[in-house]
Amino acid sequence: MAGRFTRQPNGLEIRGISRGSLLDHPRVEPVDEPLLVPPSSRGLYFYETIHAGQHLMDAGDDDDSTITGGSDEERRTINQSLTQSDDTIAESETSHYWSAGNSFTTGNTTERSSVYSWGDDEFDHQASQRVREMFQEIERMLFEGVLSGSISLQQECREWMVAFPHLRIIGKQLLPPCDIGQWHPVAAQSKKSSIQAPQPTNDLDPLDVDSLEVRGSSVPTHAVPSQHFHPPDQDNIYAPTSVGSKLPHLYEEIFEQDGTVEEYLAYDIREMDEEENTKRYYIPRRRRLGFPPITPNACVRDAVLHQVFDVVWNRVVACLSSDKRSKASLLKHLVQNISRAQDAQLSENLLHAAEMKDNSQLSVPTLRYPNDHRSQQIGPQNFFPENLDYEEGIYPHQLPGDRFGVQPLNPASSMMMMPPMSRLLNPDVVGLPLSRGSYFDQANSRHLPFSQGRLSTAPYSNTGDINSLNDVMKISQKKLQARSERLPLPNDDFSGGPLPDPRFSGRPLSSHFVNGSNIPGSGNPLGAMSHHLSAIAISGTPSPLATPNRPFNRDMLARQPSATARKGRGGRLARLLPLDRAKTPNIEFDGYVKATKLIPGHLEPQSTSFSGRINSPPHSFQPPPTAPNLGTWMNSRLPPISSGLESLQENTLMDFKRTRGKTAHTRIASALADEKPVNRALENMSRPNTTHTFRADNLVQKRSTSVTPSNFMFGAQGNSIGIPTLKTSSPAGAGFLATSSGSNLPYPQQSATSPDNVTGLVGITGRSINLGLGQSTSPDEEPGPPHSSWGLSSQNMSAVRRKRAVFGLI
Amino acid sequence: MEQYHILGRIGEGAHGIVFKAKHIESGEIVALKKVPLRKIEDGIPNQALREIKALQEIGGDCEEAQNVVKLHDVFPHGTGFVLVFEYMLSDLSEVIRNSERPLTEGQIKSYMMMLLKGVAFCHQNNIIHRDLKPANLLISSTGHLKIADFGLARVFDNDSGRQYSHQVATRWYRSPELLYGARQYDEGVDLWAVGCIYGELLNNSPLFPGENDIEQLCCVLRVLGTPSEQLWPGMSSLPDYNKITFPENPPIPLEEIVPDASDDAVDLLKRFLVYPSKKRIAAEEALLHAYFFTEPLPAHHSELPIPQRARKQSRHRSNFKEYDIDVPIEQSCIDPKLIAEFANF
Repeated sequence: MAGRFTRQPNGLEIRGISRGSLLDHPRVEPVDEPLLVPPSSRGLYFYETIHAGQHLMDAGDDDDSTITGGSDEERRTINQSLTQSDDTIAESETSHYWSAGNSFTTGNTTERSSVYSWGDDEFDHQASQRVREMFQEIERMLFEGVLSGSISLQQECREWMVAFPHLRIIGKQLLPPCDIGQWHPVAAQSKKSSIQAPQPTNDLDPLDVDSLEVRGSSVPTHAVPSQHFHPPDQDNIYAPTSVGSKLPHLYEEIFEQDGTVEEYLAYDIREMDEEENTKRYYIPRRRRLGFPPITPNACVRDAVLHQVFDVVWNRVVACLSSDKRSKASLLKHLVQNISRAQDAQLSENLLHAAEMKDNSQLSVPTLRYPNDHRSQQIGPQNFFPENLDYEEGIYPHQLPGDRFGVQPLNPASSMMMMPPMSRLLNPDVVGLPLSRGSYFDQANSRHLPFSQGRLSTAPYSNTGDINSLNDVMKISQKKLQARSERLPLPNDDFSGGPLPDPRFSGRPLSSHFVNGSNIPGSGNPLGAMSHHLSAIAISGTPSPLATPNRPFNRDMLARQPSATARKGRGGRLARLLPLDRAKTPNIEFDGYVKATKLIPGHLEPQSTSFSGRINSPPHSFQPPPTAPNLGTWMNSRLPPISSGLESLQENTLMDFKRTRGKTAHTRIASALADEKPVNRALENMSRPNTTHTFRADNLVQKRSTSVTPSNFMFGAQGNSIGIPTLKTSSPAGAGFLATSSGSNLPYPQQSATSPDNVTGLVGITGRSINLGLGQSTSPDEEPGPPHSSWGLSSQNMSAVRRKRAVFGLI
Repeated sequence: MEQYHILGRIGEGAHGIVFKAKHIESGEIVALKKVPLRKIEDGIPNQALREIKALQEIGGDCEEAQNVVKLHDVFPHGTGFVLVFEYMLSDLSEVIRNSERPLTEGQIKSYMMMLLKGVAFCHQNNIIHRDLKPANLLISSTGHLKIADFGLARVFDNDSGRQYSHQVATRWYRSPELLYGARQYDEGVDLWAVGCIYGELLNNSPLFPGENDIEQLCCVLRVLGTPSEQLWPGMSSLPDYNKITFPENPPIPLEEIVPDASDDAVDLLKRFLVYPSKKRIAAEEALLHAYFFTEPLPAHHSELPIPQRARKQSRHRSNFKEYDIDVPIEQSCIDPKLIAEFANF
């Protein structure tokens, strides 16, 4: 951020000095040359200006550029005189002010124009010479005791001689004093320099540093004896101990202390305004130009504003410049983008699901790992160990904590553990309210890659993408019904305690468990992978809980609306389709269709296919991401909500229509309330298993009450930009961006536990989304500015909010 | 002279014309005092020599010398020579004259303290200024007071019994012994002048504004009372003692002379304005007077008035741009038509 303010050095301007002439030119010329009086004083002044800044005026001899008139001779004279005068100054630093040594040139002034007759003619020249001689006489009297002149003068001199010691050093100062009070006697000459005997100064090296000296007395440093040192945590650090009293001065004596003292290097203006008299610090705005922000907050604010401006400005320029939209108002355009983004998000979710299906199908051939091949043939019961191996093989670098996610592989234990664990550890799965922001963040991070992948297939290798599919999966909800249908009673045992809500009855089988197992590793993006695998394993487990393979399959199938449609549940289909059409492109439908084919028959193959897909290089653009997505997919299946489809649909529709999540919250509650009775009835369960993709969203809602479709949308918006953020780590925001993003994505739930609490990163991504979204969604547009990184720490939240305001204005 | 760029003329003193100039090399503003030699055959006048020597000997960068004007350079020029002093914005006489409101006691103390420091420094170096007066006490742009114009300064020797000219000092600030034509005197003449300056600061008007030497003596005697041999030992031996006699005249209490002054101030003033030169409080001693250690304390130099030279004042107008409210608003706003295309929703 500081880079924005590059200060231009205030260079000294040296005019009229030609290049290269500075070094090789003799500094002082022999003084016995005839001195000419330049007719015009302007040239002289010009030289004087140069002289003022640098002692390089002698270089002016070679100068051919700017001297205003005058012959070479003249110029040299000027140079000479200047040089001489320089020496005069130097000498004046000594005690003989009027020594005639080199200062004769003072008579050669050119100031004829002066009313006060500073100039002098030949007579004046002689007179000044005479005066100089007189001064020399006086000096001789004072310093050498050579009496001359009038008696009164002699008397006067004697008085001064008596009163003050008179010592002098005669010579020409070669180095002009760089500082008043600093005196560099350089090689004092035995003889005073004079006109007749000019001192050669060619040997002068202005860069000579040898004469520098450092004065003072060195103080030896002693290490503090160890016994006097007290670790800071000790109370007596400030007080000299009995033992360490030898160094009392090292201890700060504190008579009284109240609170803690913090030192700040910089203060924010806001604080000053609050505490200090504002008048005192008021500076007219026009005078504040050019001062970069110094205080941390100001820097952050400034950086944020500039980032915002960049993004906004790109949009604005795009709007204004694009042919089609040039006439559309900016606001309109933005609104369009936003709405489009929302639609796009939905469609993208569907698309993603479709892609997943495709991948799952295709993944088998691309498997890299032998385990996968084996796993295919392994029955569900045998699969678990293999799966474990497989995971390890895939992610050898996985952290030990991540492996915890593998633990659930033991079907029984996992099943047993799941409900409590999920509730405790995995807020995502459990009903813990997620902050909108956090959810957005997840959604954003997950969503973006897909949209991007579709548009540009740009590789998003960031870890943040890993979870990107989770939300998508959440969106798809079909399995709920299938679940409810076939859920065995034992499941109720698991869910019953913590969650009285009948909806959760189906959960034990659901991916929630899987997630729960992953919880410890949730921080790691790879954890999602493990999830997915474990989920698969669970699905394959022979355990009584999991016994109904069909439900699983059905859930899976249920997810894809197309699949359901194919199954011939006409009534369902009719309902679902309109929604789907409205929100999703046809392409996605196709993908779903494919998926349906796969799922129904073979559970194990599917699982294998998933695993394979995870590894498959062709989908490298979402290497880790896919895994989490799968996991989420499983999750989505898990939420065994038996709620009526209608209500769900309504909810989804309503929520989607809402632009903002605030209302959504209330909405959600009501929706849930509505659903409950339905669930109890279980009538829905008996119904055909078909669901529509939107149902997943509802499921998500229910799991985390705070998460609402509206949130989803919001997140989706955020998505598009959220990832660019990750990708492009600008020097300014990159630092915490990377960290925060990395941490946030793996721990979406943790980052924001309360709906109101929006962490900086989340909020920011959501923010940026709005702008970037249009770009990402619409292929014809250019991709969003890569530099739009919203690296913001939690501190920046205020700034972020301001940004929001800015956006709102736009 | 080439090192200096003449900026203007400051004034014309008894010894020459004073110019304001800028030292080109350092950018320092200096005062050039051009001292002509009327008759070059006479050589360098003692006056000039004294000023140069005095300032050379006692001038400098040391802290003690900070209340003495600094002589940067001396160089011959034409039929004369030029003294280069540090540039001083104003002098104490202008401060007294121009200050719209009387100086506060703190400010007076501050000036007096600086004056006494300078005088003490001179006296420590056995230099008598002999021409102390407000006009010779220059005020820098930072408010500092510095003693200038050492043209009458002399090295004095207490033991030599050497005779000096009594035609020194400006009349109003001339000490009684000088008025009586004393040829032997000491730094007491400076201290008397300090007392006069002090009274002038307190009263905002000269303490002894004599029209001529005799009237000057009258003024002094009227205030201090007719001196007697008892009061002023050696008075009768002064050269001009017998030339003029004054009627007996009781002294006027100084409290009446400086009615607004505090007790400490009057007390200090009394210590300066005494007939016997040796009894006048020395500058160093005066600096320790209670006057400087009682409230109000001497003002910081930044709190002192800095009179601008009237001529230059107008030139330093604020040159930053002000927004003109008289300019039609159309000229300072964007034409709505230009953005109308983008403004219709």
